[in-house]
Amino acid sequence: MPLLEVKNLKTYFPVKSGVFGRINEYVHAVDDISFAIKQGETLGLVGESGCGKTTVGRSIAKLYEAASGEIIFDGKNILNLRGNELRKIRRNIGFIFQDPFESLNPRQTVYDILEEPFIIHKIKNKKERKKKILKLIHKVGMPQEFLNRFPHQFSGGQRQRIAIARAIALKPKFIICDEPVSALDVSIQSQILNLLINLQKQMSLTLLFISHALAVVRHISDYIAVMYLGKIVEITDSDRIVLSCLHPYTKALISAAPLLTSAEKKQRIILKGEIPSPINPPKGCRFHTRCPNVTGICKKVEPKLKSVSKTAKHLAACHLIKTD
Amino acid sequence: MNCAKLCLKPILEVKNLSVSFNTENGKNMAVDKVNLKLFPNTALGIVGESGCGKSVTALSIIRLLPKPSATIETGEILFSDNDILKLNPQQLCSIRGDKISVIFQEPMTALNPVHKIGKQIAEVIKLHNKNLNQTEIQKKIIRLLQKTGIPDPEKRINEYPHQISGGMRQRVIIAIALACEPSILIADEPTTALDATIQAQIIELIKKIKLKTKMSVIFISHDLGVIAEICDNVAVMYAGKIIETGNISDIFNKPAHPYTKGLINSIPGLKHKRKTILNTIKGMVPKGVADIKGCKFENRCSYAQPICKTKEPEQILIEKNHLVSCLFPLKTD
Repeated sequence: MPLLEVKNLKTYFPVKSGVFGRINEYVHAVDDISFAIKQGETLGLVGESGCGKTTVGRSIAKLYEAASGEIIFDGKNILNLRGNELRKIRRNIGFIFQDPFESLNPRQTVYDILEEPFIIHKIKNKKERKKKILKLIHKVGMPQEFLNRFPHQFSGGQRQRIAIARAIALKPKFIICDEPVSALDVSIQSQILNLLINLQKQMSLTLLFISHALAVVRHISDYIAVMYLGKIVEITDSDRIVLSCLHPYTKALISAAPLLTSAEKKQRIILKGEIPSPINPPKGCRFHTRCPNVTGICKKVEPKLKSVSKTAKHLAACHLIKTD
Repeated sequence: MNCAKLCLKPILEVKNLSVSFNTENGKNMAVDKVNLKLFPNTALGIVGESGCGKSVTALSIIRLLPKPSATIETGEILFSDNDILKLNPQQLCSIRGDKISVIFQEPMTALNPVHKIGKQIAEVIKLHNKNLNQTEIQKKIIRLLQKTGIPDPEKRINEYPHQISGGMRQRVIIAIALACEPSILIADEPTTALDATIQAQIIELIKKIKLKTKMSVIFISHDLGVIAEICDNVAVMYAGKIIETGNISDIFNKPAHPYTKGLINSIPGLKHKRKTILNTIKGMVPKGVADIKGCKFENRCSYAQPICKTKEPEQILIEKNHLVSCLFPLKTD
């Protein structure tokens, strides 16, 4: 049984307009998403602005309220849980945010920040909390002396280490990483990625790694799901996505990332036009307005995510892809 | 090809440029004795991580540094037989936008939100072409928008920046920058704020323009991949200094400075097996870099020797067109 199973998740945001602030439209941020992650695995979620990847992460953490669907974590649908039951599950779901400058309370010391999860989840003994905090700060490669400092005294990479320490404090089974290295310099990025890889091995963590940086996602993930305008368009293992993807959007995304293609400069796939608004996504296949292979059916009928390989786990949503 | 370029006179030359900023903690040398040469019809990339001084170097070229916090301590910036640093405001004005143009990173903040797009493009044309009439200017604007791949240009000129997307805004900025057919275009992280597929469109556009107009480009980025796509030559910066320069192939395939090598190796790519530990550059840029007597990279360098702490490395030529500032440059063969 997978640790996390997301079924037909939809998360919409109301758009208020007019003098009276009436809700006329919705942003279809996440529009019927399904996927599963096995224990110990990492699923990468990639896509550009407005694709819904951050909303997926936050919906699973219940930071946003899903409109419909199921999020089954460790056998329980967390969308039905409340109060104590929800709190128990929350111990097992950690979250690392993108912006290391905003995700830490500037008025708390590192010690306070790391102590908070233990207090919320009722680890009453102060001495016991201190022991755990000392272990934690060491685990993320920082010295004890840093515990008395405030977030503004640290660099982006160091703050992200603190955020990671906070996320693993209660030894969760699952961590949602929402663009955890995007705001960091390249040389610091690799340090933080290495830390995550090591922690995953040591603690048997399951990760959902959300990012727009394909090379980074490919490195840290076992499987990758590509999102576009609220939908998953392709999902398969990381090497297969890079070397033999099938969906035209995935192909364009891969070709747009220079370091993922081979040393010879290949002919780039340049998509025409812009990403449409998620308030009124195109009818039929949402990608059809930019697709180089668009046909009549693409404009009318939404393609379903279906298996496109008999030998490997590989799903794609496109009318024109035949199963191999 | 490169030998021919060496014999050419550079179209822009930065000599011994040093720029300091006044901060609460004293003077900070953001740019430290930088030397750069830009040759005609080539693209020079300046690459480095945050705080390395690449943007400040670029802004110094057209003297757009914040006053009074920034001071140009030393240096010359030679363009068209003049030192830009010695020009008076009138002479500077005639160069900016006309001979040397800039594209900045944030397309939203670079455009005036309360003026229509057509008006903003017209502004730079009118400034440098006092003899054109309204119809001629209008024609020029439409042609520019078409050149930069903006659909429905007649409609766009009456729109405001907030009505168009980020990628489209960046194209408008490029149109403004090209309006007077400059000899040099400075692009400061022009694609960083854009989505991957839009970034690809803008990169292709810049490459096409460079080919057609024979313009020279200075392209600043922290993204080595983008630099590799667009540039012919690259200068790597660290802590305000240029630590290595060369053509793209040499820098990527035979980096001579441990920092350049570390940077290239720490980027995940196909050559790395998944979920393996990446090579990293340990530590971070030290505080108080100005007080360091020797090599600024020494505390993070896996190849450092004791002398690196006390002796500042000078620039040495290790092969044709390939310079490095290191006492023990890496063997490249």
